[in-house]
Amino acid sequence: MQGPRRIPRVDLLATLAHEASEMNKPTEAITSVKRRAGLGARLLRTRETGIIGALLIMVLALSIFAPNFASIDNILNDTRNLSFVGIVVLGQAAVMITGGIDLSVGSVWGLSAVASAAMMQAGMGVVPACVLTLLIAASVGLFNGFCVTKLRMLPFVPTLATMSIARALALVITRGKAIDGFRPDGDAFFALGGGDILGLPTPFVIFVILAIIAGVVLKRSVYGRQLYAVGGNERAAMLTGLDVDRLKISVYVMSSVLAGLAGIIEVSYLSSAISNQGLGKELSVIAAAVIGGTALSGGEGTVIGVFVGTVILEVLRNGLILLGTDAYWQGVFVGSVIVFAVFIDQLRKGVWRRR
Amino acid sequence: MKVVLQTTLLVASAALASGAWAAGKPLAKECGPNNDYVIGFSQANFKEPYREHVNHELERLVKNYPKFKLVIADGQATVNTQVSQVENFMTQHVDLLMISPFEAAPLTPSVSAAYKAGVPVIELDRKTSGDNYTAFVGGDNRAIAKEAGEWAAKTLLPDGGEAAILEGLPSSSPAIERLEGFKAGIASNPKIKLVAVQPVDWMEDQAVTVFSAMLQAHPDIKLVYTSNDLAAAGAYIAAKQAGKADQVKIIGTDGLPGPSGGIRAVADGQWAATFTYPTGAAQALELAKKILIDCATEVPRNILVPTQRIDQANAKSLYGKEKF
Amino acid sequence: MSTTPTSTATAAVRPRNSLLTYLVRFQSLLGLVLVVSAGIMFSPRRHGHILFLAPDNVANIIRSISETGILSLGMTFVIIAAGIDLSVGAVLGLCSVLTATLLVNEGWGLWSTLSLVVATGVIFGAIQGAISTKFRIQAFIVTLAGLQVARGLSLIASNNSFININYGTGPGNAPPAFGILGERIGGVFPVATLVFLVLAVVAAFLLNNTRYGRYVVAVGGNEKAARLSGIPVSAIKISVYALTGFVAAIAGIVHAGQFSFGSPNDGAGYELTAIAAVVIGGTDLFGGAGSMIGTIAGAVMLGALANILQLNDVSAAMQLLATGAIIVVAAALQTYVVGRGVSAR
Repeated sequence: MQGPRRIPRVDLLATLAHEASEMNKPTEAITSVKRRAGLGARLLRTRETGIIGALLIMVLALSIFAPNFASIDNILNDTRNLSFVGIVVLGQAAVMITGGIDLSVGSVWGLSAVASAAMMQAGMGVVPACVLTLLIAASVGLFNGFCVTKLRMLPFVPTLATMSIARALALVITRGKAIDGFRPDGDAFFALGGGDILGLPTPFVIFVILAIIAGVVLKRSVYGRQLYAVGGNERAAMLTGLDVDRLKISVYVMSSVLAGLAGIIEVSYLSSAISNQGLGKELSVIAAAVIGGTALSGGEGTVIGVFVGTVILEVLRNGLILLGTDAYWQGVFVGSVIVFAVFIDQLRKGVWRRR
Repeated sequence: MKVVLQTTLLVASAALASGAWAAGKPLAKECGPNNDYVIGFSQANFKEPYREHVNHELERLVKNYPKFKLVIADGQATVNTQVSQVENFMTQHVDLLMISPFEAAPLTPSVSAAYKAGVPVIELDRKTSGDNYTAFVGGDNRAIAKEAGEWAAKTLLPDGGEAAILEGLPSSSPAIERLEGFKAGIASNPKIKLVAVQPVDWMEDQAVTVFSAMLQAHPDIKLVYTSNDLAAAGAYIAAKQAGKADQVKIIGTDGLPGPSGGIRAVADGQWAATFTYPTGAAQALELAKKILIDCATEVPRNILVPTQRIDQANAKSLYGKEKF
Repeated sequence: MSTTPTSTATAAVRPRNSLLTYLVRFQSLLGLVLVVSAGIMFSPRRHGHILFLAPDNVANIIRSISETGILSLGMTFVIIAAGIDLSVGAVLGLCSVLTATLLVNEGWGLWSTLSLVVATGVIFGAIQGAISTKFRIQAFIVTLAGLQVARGLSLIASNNSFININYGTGPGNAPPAFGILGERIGGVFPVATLVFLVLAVVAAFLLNNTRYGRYVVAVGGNEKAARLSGIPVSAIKISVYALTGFVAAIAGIVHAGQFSFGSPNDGAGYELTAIAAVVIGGTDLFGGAGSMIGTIAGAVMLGALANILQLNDVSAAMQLLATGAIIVVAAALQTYVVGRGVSAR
């Protein structure tokens, strides 16, 4: 939200040139064509290195100071816990890469949780209930995307509104009750959230698979490159003939669907759904994306980055609990880490050297 | 002297007369079996599952009183909103105000204003400060938690061990009272060591995450006390994941009915016990009936609804009964 | 009502129809009129009196919006400067806890307490502004982190509990004068709203009639142009965050006084209501144009809406829905009719 958004015609060319020089290209290889630095030096320069390094330091410190942090059980618990938020982060990253933001993911999470539970409780089969729920989530995303593109609103506004609206719908569906008793005991649906595949928690496996798909799409496909283009310089993207509107709508739909998926998986794990599911999760999701190097201004961000960002957030919270930290310090820590992470990223980019 | 004596007599007789008159005055301005009445219930928030349970109890039981119309307002866990809603009920001229204040002091002025304006006030589960209410129906969080602690100290862990507490939303009165009560309860057995206390804000998913971490840091935890049933459910999931479902004894609070409630969990052997925090809905509505329909001139001021321990002995039979 | 767009903004604004433009410029006032009319129409009646218009009810409406209204005054400045502040609710909580703690637990005098609390709010805001400006980190992120930090600090300051304020002399009591914040003048007009009104007048004057206000608008409209014209951009940007910190502190003090109570949970979610009031009031989220009167009208409208729904026993879910819908409609009006929006990028 900072920086000039309205470009007076007079400055158009100058601004375009300036923005082009500020645009961070997703692949470093292009910039270093002239002097092809060695693999080691290139690795050091990527943004992921910074946060992976930070993560390693954190893990090391916690292994020494926090009891049982490094135990297999704890790590597996962590992976399960972070998967729900992680799935949503993938979608949010896509939205942020196009220069937008989606504040409604927490409410869509909740709405999907209660909608799927209610449908199953009413006797619908697991698969149709989940599919229908994801369609509902997609329609919320469609609405968000429509407002951002056709009605030209700042993404903050419609997603803020759908945040309230989706939560309201969740309240209506639950009519204040917890929905339970929709899972016949010991069935496959529980395995979605609570089971294991090859020793790893199922949600984590789902998260990793989705992350790999997302990574490939963002880095290798034409669609992915178009997303970066839209976020980097929307005007230029439009001028080169990209259907910016359709691209933007697609990421909002994706974000909502992934939020819905997280809600469904969590519900299968907890086996009850209350209207508060997912409350406040949007902030964790955005924080993880930002720690992972995704900029709010768009055009930047990688799947590896947000993956690591999600892990960092979970490791931090888990570590603080293991250390027996008082609840109130946890808030202070998490807040400071977020700012610190972005600060380091700015440092790496040398943002304020250019003034 | 004569004047003074006469004045004193006059004043005294007036006081006696008004006292006698007041003693016979019905608590509600308009009362009787022939009118319809609107009861406004200002609920602290709709988020806590216990409060949803209270709402449902009230909605279910009020059907037995065809003359009553019940309106429930959501305070949204914000004192500003709840105060507005009490004020709005006054604007709507409800016949009786029921309230579970989110916090005592901030709600006192508006509730007192209602009381002084002649609207009977029944406080459910939590009190405001001071005396400006007609009746209070509720449990004593501290006593219930203390009973849980003492039972744990004597029966569950007579030989001691490590204990943990998952508390409710920090700084909310029931969370604080249950925490302090339980601590006082287990103090009776010095062999029990409290090793971890963390808030989970009444939420199940947070309970899972936090208790898993607690089990990592303190693998020998034998007892966990939670401030509400949802948190206990989360603790069970965490314990099961860690393979410690047999080692850890779980005590919940609320005793909610239904498949995800505490009664079933105890019946299935997942938890050691839960302590009901009865809603008091039935008592409150009965009080309302006495005030509005029977034109009672006085009612009991404090109705303490006792807790009931639900453990292996009675859970199964209770579950069959409580199901609706 | 004075919307003061910069010259660059007028180039980007394409009024389609002058009547519609006027409608949108006054959208918040129009919206308020609409909501009030709906309130009158749908108001329950008693013995022929329209309950919605009862003096007590009106007083209740304006009392309920005092704190979020105060917050939205500062938020208007920040948004006009093309920033945002998500931490105001948490800072409100921190300040109300500080007020309660200092007065009751530490036995401070009234003026020293108020000074320290206000200073805390201002410094907290200024720090956020400085981090955002000097390190070029998005305000969204800095204030998001600030929210967490402020909540944590308020839990620390209150020792994880809430603090009741009793009035009287002697230890453990606050000076009775402080309780005036919970009173109503003449039994009707809430003192808290009086504070809001006074601050609103000052804020409107500051925005529309001082050089500072013009600088803020310029910085929000086109930062580069503003810097080139010699406006101290960094100082202005830091100052608007100090402003939101200031109003959050005042709101926190009012909260503690109104409710005789300080709790770390205070103010949770208030920032979104404040932002909603600003958006509904017609201030452009892009920055560079805005109206204080619009914000005030937006805040009152939200309060009136909640009141109407409540009086008609509409469920909480519907209230959420209505608020969300109004935000969308207001924003749609803004972009669709006046032509502000992403098209001008």
